[in-house]
Amino acid sequence: MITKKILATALFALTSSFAFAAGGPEVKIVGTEASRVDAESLQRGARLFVNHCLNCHSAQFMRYNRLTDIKLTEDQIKQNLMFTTDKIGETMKSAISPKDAKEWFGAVPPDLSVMARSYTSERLAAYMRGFYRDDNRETGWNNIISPNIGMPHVLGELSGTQTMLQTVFKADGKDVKTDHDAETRARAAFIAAQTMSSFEHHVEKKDGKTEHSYIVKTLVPATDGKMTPQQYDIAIADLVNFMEFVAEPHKAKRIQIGILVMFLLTILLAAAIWLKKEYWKDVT
Amino acid sequence: MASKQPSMFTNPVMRWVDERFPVTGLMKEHLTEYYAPKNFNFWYYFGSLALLVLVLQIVTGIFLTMNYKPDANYAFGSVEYIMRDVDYGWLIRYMHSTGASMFFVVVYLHMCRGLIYGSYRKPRELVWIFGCLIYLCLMAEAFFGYLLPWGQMSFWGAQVIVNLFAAVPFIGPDLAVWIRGDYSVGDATLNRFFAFHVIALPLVLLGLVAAHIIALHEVGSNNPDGVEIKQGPKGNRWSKDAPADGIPFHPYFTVKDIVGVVVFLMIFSAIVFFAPEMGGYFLEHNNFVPADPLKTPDHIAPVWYFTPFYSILRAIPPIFGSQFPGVIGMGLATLIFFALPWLDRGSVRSIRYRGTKWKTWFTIFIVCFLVLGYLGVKPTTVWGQFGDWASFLDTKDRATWIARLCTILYFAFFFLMPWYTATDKSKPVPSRITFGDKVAPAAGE
Amino acid sequence: MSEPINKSRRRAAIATAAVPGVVLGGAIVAPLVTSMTPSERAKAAGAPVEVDISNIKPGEKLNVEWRGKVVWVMKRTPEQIASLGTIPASQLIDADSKGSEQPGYVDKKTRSITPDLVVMEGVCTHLGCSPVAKLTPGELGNDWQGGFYCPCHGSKFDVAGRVFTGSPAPKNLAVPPHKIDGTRLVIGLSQDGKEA
Repeated sequence: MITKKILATALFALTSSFAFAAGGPEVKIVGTEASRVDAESLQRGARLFVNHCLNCHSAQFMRYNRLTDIKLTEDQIKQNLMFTTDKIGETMKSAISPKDAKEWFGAVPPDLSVMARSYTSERLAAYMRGFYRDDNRETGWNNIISPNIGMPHVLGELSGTQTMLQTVFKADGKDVKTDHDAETRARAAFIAAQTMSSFEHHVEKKDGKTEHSYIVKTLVPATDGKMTPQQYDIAIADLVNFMEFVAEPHKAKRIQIGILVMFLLTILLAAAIWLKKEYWKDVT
Repeated sequence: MASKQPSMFTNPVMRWVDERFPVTGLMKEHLTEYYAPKNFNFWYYFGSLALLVLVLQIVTGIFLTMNYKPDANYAFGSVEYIMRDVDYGWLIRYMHSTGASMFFVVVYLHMCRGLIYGSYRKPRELVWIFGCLIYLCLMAEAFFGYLLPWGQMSFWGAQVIVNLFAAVPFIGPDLAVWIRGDYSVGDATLNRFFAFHVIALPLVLLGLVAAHIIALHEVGSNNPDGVEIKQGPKGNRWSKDAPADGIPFHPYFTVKDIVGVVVFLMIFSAIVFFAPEMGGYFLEHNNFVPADPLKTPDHIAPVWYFTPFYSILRAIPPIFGSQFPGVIGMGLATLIFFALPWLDRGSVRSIRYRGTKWKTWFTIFIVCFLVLGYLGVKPTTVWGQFGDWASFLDTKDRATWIARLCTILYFAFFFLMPWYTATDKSKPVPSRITFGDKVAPAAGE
Repeated sequence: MSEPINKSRRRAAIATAAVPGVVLGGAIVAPLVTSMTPSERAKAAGAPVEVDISNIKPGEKLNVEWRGKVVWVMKRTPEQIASLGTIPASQLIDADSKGSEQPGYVDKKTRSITPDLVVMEGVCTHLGCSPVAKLTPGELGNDWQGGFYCPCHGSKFDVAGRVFTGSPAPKNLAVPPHKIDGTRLVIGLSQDGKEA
C-alpha cells in the first residue's frame, strides 16, 4: 500500500518536472530609471528598506554593522536605521513576528537577504512599480509582474495608484477571423502600449475544441502620490540598489580584488610564456 | 616500479630520505624521465588542468566544511553565513562553485581530446576506462554536492534524480526511499549526501586519478598524430634508450603547462570575481530561495553539465506509463563511453588521418551533444509547436522531436562505429610525429 | 640540432616567473587562513557587554558572560580594600601585576579603575577552571583575609585577583578592558571607547 503511494508521488514529481512551465505572462517594463550605484543611492535605499520592508520582512543574514560599507557611521545606523534591535552586530529582523505575519498575510513574508539574487533586480524593480488597484483581492492590490501575490502596495502612498486595463483578443469569425489574427492584434496592442503591460495566452478546451484567447493587460495611472512618477522610479532604483547590496555585501570588494588578481595573472602570464620559450629553444 | 637509482640529491636530508623512500625513482619515472611526445598541442593542457581543479576543489572544500552545517534547518543559512560573516568566505565559496562547473568544462574537453586523437585505442584502454570511472565519479560528486546549499534547485533537482531510481521496475520505490532515508528528500538525505560528497567520493576520485596517471605512464602518452613514439627510432639528447620523438615531461611540459594553468586561472578568476553566477548557469537564481518541499519551482533544470543526459531522459517517451526506458537511455548514454576502445575498429587513431565517414559521424555526435545540452536547460517547448498538419506525431513540440533525433544520432555514433570505422578510407599515417614544419614520410612507403 | 642551453637566461626566466607566482600563491593561501579568524557572527556575539552597576552593594559580586568567559563584577567593601594593603609583596607572585594581563589605565595594586569596583575574568590562569569566592576572612586558614580559591589545583587569589605564592597559577586573574560611565559599565570597551 505504502509503496504504491510512494510510486505515485515519485512519478508525479518526475512528470511534473517534464511538464512545460508556463513561466508566467510576457511582461513589458516601461520607464525603469536606473540610478547610479553610489553611497547616496544606497543610503536612500537603506532608509526606504528599513522603514517600509522591514515592517513585515526580515533580512536575517544581513548585519546592521555591514551598513558601514555604504559609508554610514555606526551612530547614524543606530539612530536612523535600527528599529528592531539595539545591537549593531545584530541581523535585520522584521518588526512583526512570523506568527502574526502568517495570520495577516496567509504566509510568512519571505526573507529579503538574497531576494535580489533569486528574483533578480530587473524583476524586483518592475514588481515594485507593477502594483494596481484590484477590489477582488483581500488587500485591495494586485501586481502585474507577480499576479495575485499576497503583498499589498506598501509604497502606495508615495507612488499613487494605478488601475489595470484588460483587453481580450479572440477569434470571432467576423472582424477577427482566425486565432492567428487575434494573436497579431494582441501583439500589436502589447507593443503599442506606453505603460507597463503584460501579454498572456490562454488555451481552453471546450466541447473538444481548443479556444485560444490573448489577453493584454496595461497599467493606467489613477491617483497621484507624494512623489512624481520620476521621483518614484528613482526611489525604487535606490531600493533595488540597496537590496542588491544586501544580497551580496561583498560585491564591491570582490570586483576590486578581481582587478588586482587579473593584473597579477597578466604579469605571471608574460613571465610564464618567456619561461616556456626559453626552455623550448632546444626542442627541435 | 623503478629499481634503486642513484640519488639525484646532494642535500643530505633528501639523500637520507631517498635511501628509504624512492623520491628519485618516482620523480624520474613520472617527471624527469617520463618521455612525452613533443608535438602536444592545445588539447593536451586539459589533463594537468583537471588535476589543478581537483586540488582547488579539495582545498576550498575543506575550508567550506569548517563552516557548513549539513542540517536541513541550518544548511541554507550556513551557506549565507559563509558568504557574509566568514572572512573571505564568499571567495572560497565562489571558487568552489565555479570550480565545479570548470571541472566539467575541463573534463569534457579532455574527453573530447581522447576522441579526436583516438587516445582510448590499444594499448590505452585502461587509461580510458579509469578516465570514464573518474567522469562517473565526478558526476556523482557534483550531484551530491549540489544538494548541500539546500536551495530550491538543490532540493528539487535531488528529488527528481532520486525519483529516477523509483522508475526501476519492482524494487524502484523502495530503492528510492532507501537512497533518501526518508519518504521525500529531507534531513537524512542531506546528511548522507554530505558524507558522500566530502569523504566517500573524494577518496574514490583520488584513487582513480592515481590509477589513471599510473596507467598512462605505463603505456606512454598518445599524441595528435596517433603515432606510437615508443615504436619509432630510439635515442634523444637525454637518453639513448628513450624514444627519439619524446622529451622529458619535466621541465619541458611543466613549463608549458604553467602557461596553460595561468591562462586557465585568468578565465577562472574572471568568473569568480566578475560573474560568479555566470548568468544563472553556475549558480542558479532559484537556488537563492531556501528549499521548500511544498512548492515546486516553475522550471527545474539540472546544472548545465548534466543537461545533455537530461535531454535524452526527456526525449525518450514513457512506455506503459513507465519512465524506466528514459532512465535506461540516460544511463546508457554515460556508460557507452566505456565500450569505445572496442567499438572503434579504424586503422588509425588520430582525426588527422581518419576518413570522411568517421569525421562526419564525429561532427554529428558533437553537434548532437551540444544541441541536447542546450535543450536540457530550456523548457521543452523552446522551439514552439508543429502546425496541425503534424497531428500524426504524438507531441507537437518541435524541440522534443529534435531531442529525439539527436538522441538517436548520439547512440548511432557509438553503435554504428564498428561498421563505419572498419570501412572508412583512412589517410596514410606518417612513421614519425609531425613537429614544426617537418613532416616524416608515411609509414611503410 | 642543439645550440648550447643558456642556463643563466633560464634561471632569470624562473626567477621572473617565481615572483608573481609566489605572490599569487600567497594570495590563494591568505584568504584561506583569514577565513579561520572569528567571523562576523562570532564578533557580534563577542561584542561589548553593558552592565548596570548602580544596584551592586558593597561585598556583592555579579557574574557576567563576555566572549564565552565568566567576568566578575565586584564592589569591594572598605575592609576588603584595606586588606589589599596589608598583604606583603613576598606572599604574592606578581604583586604589582607586571606580568599579568590588565589594561594600562587600571591601578596595579587594586587592579581597578576606582578602588571599590573590580572587574576580573573568573578564569584561573593555571588551566582555565573558574575559581570560587571564599570571601569570609579565616575561611582558608587563620591568615586568610578573603579572596578566591581554584578548586582544580588549589590556586589562591586575593580580592584583587592577585595570585599567592605556592599556587600553581603563574599570573594574576586577567582584568578585561572595561569602561565605566557613571552607573554603566561596559566590558570589552577600553576607557577611551575603543573596542577590544
